[in-house]
Amino acid sequence: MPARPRTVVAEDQYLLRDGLTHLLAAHGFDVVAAVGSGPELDAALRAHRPDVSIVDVRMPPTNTDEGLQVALAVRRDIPGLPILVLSQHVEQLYARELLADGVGAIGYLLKDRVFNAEQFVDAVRRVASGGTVMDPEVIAKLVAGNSRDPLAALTPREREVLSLMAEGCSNAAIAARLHFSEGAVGKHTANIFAKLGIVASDDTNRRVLAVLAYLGAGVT
Amino acid sequence: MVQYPRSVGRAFALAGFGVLSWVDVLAELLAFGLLCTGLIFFLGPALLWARRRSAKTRELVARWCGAEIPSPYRPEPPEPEPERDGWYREGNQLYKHAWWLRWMRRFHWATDDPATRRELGWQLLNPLVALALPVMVLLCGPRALRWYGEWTRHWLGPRAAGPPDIGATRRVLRWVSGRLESLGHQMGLLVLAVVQLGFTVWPIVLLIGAYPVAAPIVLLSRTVTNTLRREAGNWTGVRIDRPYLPAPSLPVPRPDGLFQVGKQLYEEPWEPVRLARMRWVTRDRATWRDLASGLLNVPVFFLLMIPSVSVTFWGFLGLQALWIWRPIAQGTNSVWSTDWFTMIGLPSATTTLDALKLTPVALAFMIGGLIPATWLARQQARFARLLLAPTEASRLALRVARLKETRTEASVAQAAELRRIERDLHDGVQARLVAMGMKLGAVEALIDTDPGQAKKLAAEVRAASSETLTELRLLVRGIHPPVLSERGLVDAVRALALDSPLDTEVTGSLPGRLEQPEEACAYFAVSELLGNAAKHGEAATVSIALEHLDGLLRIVVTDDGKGGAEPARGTGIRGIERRLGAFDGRFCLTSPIGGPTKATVEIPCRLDPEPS
Repeated sequence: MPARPRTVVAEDQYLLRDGLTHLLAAHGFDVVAAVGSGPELDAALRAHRPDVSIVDVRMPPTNTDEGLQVALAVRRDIPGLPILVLSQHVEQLYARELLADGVGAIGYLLKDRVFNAEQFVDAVRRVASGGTVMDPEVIAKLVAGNSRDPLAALTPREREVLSLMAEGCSNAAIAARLHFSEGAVGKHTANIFAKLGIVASDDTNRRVLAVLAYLGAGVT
Repeated sequence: MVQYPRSVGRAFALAGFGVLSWVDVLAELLAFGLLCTGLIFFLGPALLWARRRSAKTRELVARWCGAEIPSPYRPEPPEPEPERDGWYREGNQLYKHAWWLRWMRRFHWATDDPATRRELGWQLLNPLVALALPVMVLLCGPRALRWYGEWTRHWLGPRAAGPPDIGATRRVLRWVSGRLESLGHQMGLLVLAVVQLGFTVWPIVLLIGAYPVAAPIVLLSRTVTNTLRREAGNWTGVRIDRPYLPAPSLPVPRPDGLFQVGKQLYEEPWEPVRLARMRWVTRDRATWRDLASGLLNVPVFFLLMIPSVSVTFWGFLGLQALWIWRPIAQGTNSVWSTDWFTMIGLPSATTTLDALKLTPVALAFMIGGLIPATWLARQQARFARLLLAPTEASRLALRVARLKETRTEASVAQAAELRRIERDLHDGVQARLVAMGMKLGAVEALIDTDPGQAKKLAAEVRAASSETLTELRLLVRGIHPPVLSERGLVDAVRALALDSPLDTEVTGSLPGRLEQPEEACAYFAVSELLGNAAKHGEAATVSIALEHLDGLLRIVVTDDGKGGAEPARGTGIRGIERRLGAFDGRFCLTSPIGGPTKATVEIPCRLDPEPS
């Protein structure tokens, strides 16, 4: 990730767009475009190929899931283009669609998370560097739901680690949150990968695959 | 070598055990006889008691004949559960104690099961087969035991649902039995018409002679006419809707507590109720059409029966004469020997050769009579429909009444919804915003003097704003879920399925978007049904199928829970029906005990073919 990541902000509400632009600029991002509709976003993403972009789901012209559709379409053409999707509500359905390509560099957060600037900027950086960030509410819904098949083999502790992994935490962050040593977390993650049948490759990609399995989207 | 004598011994044991079935049959016949005299308490236990013999047979067959046969019965009915006030409820009937309800349930459990019917057949036939078994084993060895196992499985094992693959002989049998059934239906319709005639004469007499007291009798005769309507539909597939106008609503007292009808005041409501019912009955055209139909149905049904029934019966008499009366009368000089044949119009047959020649003629008559039976039965029902179905005017009147009802329900539901939103906003979001404003004021006051405390307060405000947003999000979801407006019904249902704790599968697709109100109605219905499946049904998997055909959206939600859901019980289901009513939608729930529960939601609506 470059020192000043080039960023595109897409949000139809002027106040929020302005606020996001300022926030990101203040934290060392180079906001190359700030747009307010689907077609504009499409054009901006293809023209700038930004290091990361912040995209609102609901935007003109249809005011439905314009932002999500554009994000998915652009990522089909430019695989792995880092995008953080923001929304007033989170749906497992959308999370799965975003994760389905399995290449990472994707985020899906509630707009409320912007309140905590530090955490938000941290999430943006993680997406920019190829990580996967899921909103805790998506994770909570999953945990409240049933234990879907591939996860039945995991111990509660491993599940906890996996859910933090899905939120986008690094091993160090997970260790801090759960009060373990980093080595213990490494052991847990290795167990998780083994139980989910994810073969060794580059670690980031494995984490994405584990999150995919977690969301039940199927690992292929 | 020890196998052969052992299997002979087993065959004898099975034969001895099999013969005991006839004892069961006797007991059941006795219990049935008692049932017919009004002593209803014996048939259920007799049937259930006989199941023990079947169970023992299955056990022996599993041990000796190598055929594991699972139990074919439906699961036992659940224990009645008292309502909150301690009474037991079944439909609209309340019971003080559970025993009667428990007994009724077990009785229906025993008698309604198709496995019971097969078991009765088995009890009659099996002793013969079981007695033949030792002979077969002596002749063919232990193999015969395996055949017996298959025989037992055929009768006492569970049957897969759905029609089996049928061969040509089966098809002929089916044709004959279908036509014979139609013949029975023709006669059944005539019998119902005769009963209807009986219940027509009384209302006519009363309407002429004792006009004021006619209403209850007219209403009673309507139940008979409704039976005719229903059975005509069941037997011939000709649907006859009920044409009656809805009953008058109860009288509302004036402010002084008196009831007013025209210029007359009454202290008690009975007289106004009686008057209103009388007007309702006599002003309804359907009453008079019912009476006309009651007078006409009998002769017309009779005429329509003549071609099929008389020809079939004539052929049947011929067969009887050829093969039963002729041999009996032969040799004797009685009148039967010749008169019988001339009586039914056949040339006299005295030798077996003659009889053989005439047999095809008699058979042809029987078949010739059977051919039009189905068609004639349908004509009977069609004739009945002429007078018994609603006329265009009464259809409209019914429609107006229904629309009035659904409009009221819809507006009441809408008002309640708005009130709920208002309350949620008032108690939740507004209160939280006030608290946040107050805290911000405190932050302002403290920011110079005690920055640490101010910072802490500011963090609290941020947390509170986050909670407020969560609450608003829930509220919005309850009003109109965002995913529904963003993606349409199918994806919104998928999102629901993902959020459900059950393993849920969604199939089907819609080629466009529905109108918004119908979409929301369908969504909330599915949401309610999924919630019910998770809460009450003990289901593990649910499947949701959506389709749109011929202007009708149909959603079928099936779960594999324990079943036994009663539409009358749940307020949630009432809510679904109310919401659907506003769109002329329909809701249908089938939930046999033991499951599966299948709920169907149908909404007539147009698709907007906008690709989304």
